[in-house]
Amino acid sequence: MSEPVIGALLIALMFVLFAMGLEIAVSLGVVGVLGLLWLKGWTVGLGVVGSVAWSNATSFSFIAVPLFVFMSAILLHSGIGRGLFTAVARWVGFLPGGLAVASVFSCAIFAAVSGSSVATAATIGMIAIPEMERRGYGRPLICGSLAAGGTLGILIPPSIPMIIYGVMTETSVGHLYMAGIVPGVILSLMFAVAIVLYAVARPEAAPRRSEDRGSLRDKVRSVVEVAPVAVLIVVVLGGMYVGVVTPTEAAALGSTVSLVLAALARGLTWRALNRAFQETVRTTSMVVLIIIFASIFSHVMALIGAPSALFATVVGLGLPRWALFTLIFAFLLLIAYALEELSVMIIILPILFPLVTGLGFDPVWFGVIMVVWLEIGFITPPVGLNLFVIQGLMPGLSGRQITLGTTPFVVLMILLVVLLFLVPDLALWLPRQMLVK
Amino acid sequence: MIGWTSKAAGLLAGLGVLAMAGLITFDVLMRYFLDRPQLFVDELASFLQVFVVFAGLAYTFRAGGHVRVDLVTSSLPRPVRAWLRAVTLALGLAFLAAVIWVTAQSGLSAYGYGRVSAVMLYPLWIPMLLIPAGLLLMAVAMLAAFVRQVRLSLGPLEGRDEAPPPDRRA
Repeated sequence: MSEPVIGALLIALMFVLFAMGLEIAVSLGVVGVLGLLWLKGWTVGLGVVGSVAWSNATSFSFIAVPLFVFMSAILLHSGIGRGLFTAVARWVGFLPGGLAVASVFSCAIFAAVSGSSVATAATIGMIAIPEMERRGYGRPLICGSLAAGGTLGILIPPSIPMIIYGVMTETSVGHLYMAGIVPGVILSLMFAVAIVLYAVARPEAAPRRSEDRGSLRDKVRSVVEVAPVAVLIVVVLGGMYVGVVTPTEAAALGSTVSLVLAALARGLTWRALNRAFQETVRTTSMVVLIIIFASIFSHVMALIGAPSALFATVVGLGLPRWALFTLIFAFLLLIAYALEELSVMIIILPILFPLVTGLGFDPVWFGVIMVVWLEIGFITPPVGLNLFVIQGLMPGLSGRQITLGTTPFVVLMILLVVLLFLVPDLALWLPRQMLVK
Repeated sequence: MIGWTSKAAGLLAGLGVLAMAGLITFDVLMRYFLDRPQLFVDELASFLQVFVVFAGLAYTFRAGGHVRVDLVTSSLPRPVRAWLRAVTLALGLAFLAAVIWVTAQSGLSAYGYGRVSAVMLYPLWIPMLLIPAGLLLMAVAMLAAFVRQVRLSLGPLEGRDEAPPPDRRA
């Protein structure tokens, strides 16, 4: 049987196993091992499984994944960062839709210490949602601003998906982090402007009150309230920017400092620590198991020559760059509808990355694009991770309210992708300024 | 029993994360302030990472943490879904058995050759055997889920559905 036929059969089998509801990691493993047996025989084929599992599980760079998850979880469960919303609200509360703007901005600030979209939405949402509900804000607006604001957690560094992308494609995680900052700030501003315009057009969705104008004394006090988060931002991002620490080391320092801050704020209970452990272990085991079996699968795809065949096919289309990029991005949006996005990224990167870089796109730039795509996926039904968080915090939220609330933000995210395509330097300028290359 | 073991292993994995954070912080501080990098930390942290990933597998499985696609299965009739889950669990078990066997083999051969790590010279078979050990614990949890699923599928008609993960989080 020829190799393209084997490849097609294996990919078909993979989708069948996914559809049957077999765990994604195991599905990839089954397909990968069958492919290895087919191509390499019993002894050599199975030997690969052991060495791939070992090399992925011991990768020092991947250690940043549990450490950043742990740090985000400690911040979430110990309550550090919850003061952020109140503090920011004192500064921007006077704007139309001020509390929704404050939600987005406090998510953006918290994103600079959190690598997780879910932890960001949950930390800020826990305070912002009850406050906005009390004030009679429209439910779609509340849902949209926090779901979308939360996704800034993975675009503004640190970022767990960026670590995975960086290690899998051998792209500098430090450069990816710096590349996320400017697009993250632009996206936050786009969100804020959209909210203000919406609140001007529909004042009943964001009732205003005189208490929104914080006094100067309140504003000064708010600076003290955000101090713990500011310290963490300096430790985590500052160290990496000047090149003193690697992302993994920044994650370890950040975790340690978070623990200390949580203890000082008397938020470090056994319950908080235990929940942080559980979340960290669940995420790490799940993600690394998928990575291990996905790399066996992609090893098989490489043996068959799938990436080069795909490249030849795509180049053979003879389309201009923008059309190719639109095609790839549309494909990504489509596939994200059925599968959990982070798994999709891990599965297709080994095939997609050589294609995209082969077409002349920058690896760091494409990493940012992948993250914005993940953000879109996280707030799109049926499997939007952030939507589950918001639903947990807003009982009775209807599917219609979710769609109404999130669609404008999805449009803005797609707009950001277009901007990044037209002006790649929005992402690539800052990494060039790093002190250590 | 399986639940207790999985939770205990999961908790140990959590402590492993704490240890990694502490060790790497120590290394950074020693290097930055005293100019004395601690080379053993990289090695020990990688060892701990293997432990965190594989000791946490069974716990993650019981918490329903391994991602699955339910787009298709959620629209199937309940008895069909019940049997389909029994089939996928059996498939998963067969696969895990093969991987456990392979990874145990490479661990044992590392033992046979007396392979040691680069800096601390600890024997490599210890972390290598953590992989099949963690997978074995997950396989046991999966076997229990399989038995439960078959019982449910054969049981009273109204109860025939996919069994929820035993330790699903709130």
